[in-house]
Order: sequence, then structure tokens, then C-alpha cells
Amino acid sequence: MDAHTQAFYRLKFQNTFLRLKGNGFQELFGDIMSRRYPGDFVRTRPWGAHGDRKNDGYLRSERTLFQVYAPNEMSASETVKKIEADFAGALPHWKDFFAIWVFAHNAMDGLGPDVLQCLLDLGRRNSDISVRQWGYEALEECVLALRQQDLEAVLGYAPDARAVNNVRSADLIKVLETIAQTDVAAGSDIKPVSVDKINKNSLSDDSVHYIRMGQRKSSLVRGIFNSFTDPLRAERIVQSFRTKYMDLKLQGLTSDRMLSELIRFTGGYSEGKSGPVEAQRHEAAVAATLAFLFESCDIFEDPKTGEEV
Amino acid sequence: MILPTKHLATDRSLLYIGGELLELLARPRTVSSLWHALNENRKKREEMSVITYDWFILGLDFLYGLGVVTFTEGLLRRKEAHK
Repeated sequence: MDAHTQAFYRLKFQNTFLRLKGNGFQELFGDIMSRRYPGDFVRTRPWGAHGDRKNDGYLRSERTLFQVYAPNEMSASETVKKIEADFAGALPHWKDFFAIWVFAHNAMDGLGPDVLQCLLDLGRRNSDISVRQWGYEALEECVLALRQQDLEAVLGYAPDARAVNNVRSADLIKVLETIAQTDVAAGSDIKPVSVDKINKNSLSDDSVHYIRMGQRKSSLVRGIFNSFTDPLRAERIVQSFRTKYMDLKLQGLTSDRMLSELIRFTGGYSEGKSGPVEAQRHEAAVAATLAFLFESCDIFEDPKTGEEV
Repeated sequence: MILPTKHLATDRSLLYIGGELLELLARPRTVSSLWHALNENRKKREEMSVITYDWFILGLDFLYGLGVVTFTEGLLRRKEAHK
């Protein structure tokens, strides 16, 4: 797997982790664990009146029971209640089978002190059971250990160097047509492209890899813009992109998260039913479009003249 | 649309097209003849963008709005500056 493909999967996993809640997140967790530990991890699902008996997955070799929690908003009090209820609910059914109890959650920035205290207290009161929590990092580690075919099954197809080389104008036109167009007045200052723009924006290595991958074909986008019979169509597309970026910026997202959302806005991370070659070319075309728009739009910060980056 | 922008090439801006049309109006022309002359002019230079008839008409509107062309008796003419 080349560096670009790895970077793509890390970015896509982060985006998926942040986007999915509730059952969707639990489904993702089950998909990852089943492929990471084939024949060892057992998914469970609610069964009639019995429900799932507070078991969202079991890893036999490690005698580990998982409880997955991915609310829309995580409140400390609700989370503490959930942990205590789920742990207490699991004991009557599974006590003889597990030595480790894992609270798997979707809090990207970690758990608050109340929740941490609850977990520590639980561990202290049940000295024969190791109480742990899995967040983003733990699940990412599982994802990155997957074989490529399993990654494709869980997260879709990623562009590789060959797919980028094979991107043609027709692929880019399809991508450009998915960007919403709004009627806006034309007019942005002509600014030279900032060479240090990528470094200025504290983008992670994965994001940098993604943009640099797209830059290999971004010049094709300029040609397509110049070929539009409506001379203002390019400006409308760019303005839509600019508006989306400003909207994301106002939400206070990190640069990496903004890039990820812009990938999705541009039609990337698609979960369509096209075959691998077509899907890879589509993702590569999205990357090329995004790289072009990154270079030429008023999005992300440009280094000031003379600033060392 | 009048001036070039980051994503509107100079030769597609109305300012540039207007200048090109004024040059071609060195002698009075009908609208069709001017449209034909503009296309021939652009074909000679590979780097020039193709523009649509709508955009050509917008270019004429721009010149008319500036008061630098007239349209009388079926002919477009450059308005000469008063000395």
C-alpha cells in the first residue's frame, strides 16, 4: 500500500468515525473488529425480548467484552449512567466469560474527568475485571492493521498512484458537476499561488499526502474550467466551494477536519456501487479537484509575504 | 465578468472582448459579420478561448453601455471621439 493510499484511509477513517453515531457506529465497530480478529471476535445483536444483554461484541482470545456507545452528544451524567448500567447489566450474563470490559466510544477528544473517574471506580470495585476504554486511537490502530482488501470492504476503495495517473478530463468533469452551484457575482482578486500554503495550515502528514497526490493532476482542472462554454461557470463552482469552506471554518473545525469535510462535499468518500477501478479513479479525480481548488481558492490561510513557514 | 478573475481568463472577460470587437470595427459591420470576424480572429490564435454567441452579445452590450459603439441602419460603428 503506497503512502497516498494509507493517508487516504486514515483521513477517511477519521471522517467516518466522526460522522457515524448510534447503530451506524456500532456497525462500523463490528465490521472493523470482525476483520481485525477473524474467527475470534464475535458480534452480537439484539435478539427479541433478550436484547443484546449488554454485549456489543466479544473477543474470545482476550476474554474481552465490549460495550459500544456513540451518542450524538456525549454528556458526562448520561455517559456515567450508561457505563454503570451496562456494566451491571453484563455481569449476570457474562461474568464467567470476560476478564476485560471495554467501553468503546466516539469521543474524538477523549473522555471528561467524571467519566474517567467512573471507569476507574468501576475497576476498583471489581478487582478481578480490568475496565478499559477505547476511543479513536484504539480503533484507528485496529483499522491500520487491516489488510488492504479488508480496508476496501470497510472504507471503500482508495486511489493509488496508478489511479491518479489514469485520471482523465471526463472524470474531473463528473466531479465538478457534483459541486453545488449558486448564482453569485464573480470577482475575486487574482492572487498568486502561495508555495508554503500547505505548511502554513498545520495540516497533518496525511492531509499533505492527499493534496500532493491530487496536485499531480490538478492542472487538468484549469483546462476544463477554460473549456466551459459559460465563462462564469468556473467562478460559480469555486464560489460554492469557498462558501462551504467558510461555513466549516465558522464551526471551528481543525484544518484536517475541514479538508475531510471538503473531500466529502466534492463527492469523495463515495459509497456508490461502482467497481474498484472506477471508484479509485473517482477518488483520484476528487483529490485533483480539491488540490486545484486548494491552490487557487481563498481557502485556508496563505503565508504572509516574507513569513517563514 | 467585465474584468478577468482568478477563474475567468483574460480573453474571456468582457473588457478584453470589448477591445477585440472595437478593433474589428475599424469599418462598419453587421452583427453577423462582426461575429464571424471575431471567430476567425480567435481561430488564428490557438491560445485564445472559444466564446459563445451569448458572450459576444454581452460584449456588444458592454460597448454600447459605454457609449463607444452605435447601431444605425443595420450597421455597428465605432463612435469617434469628439475632438
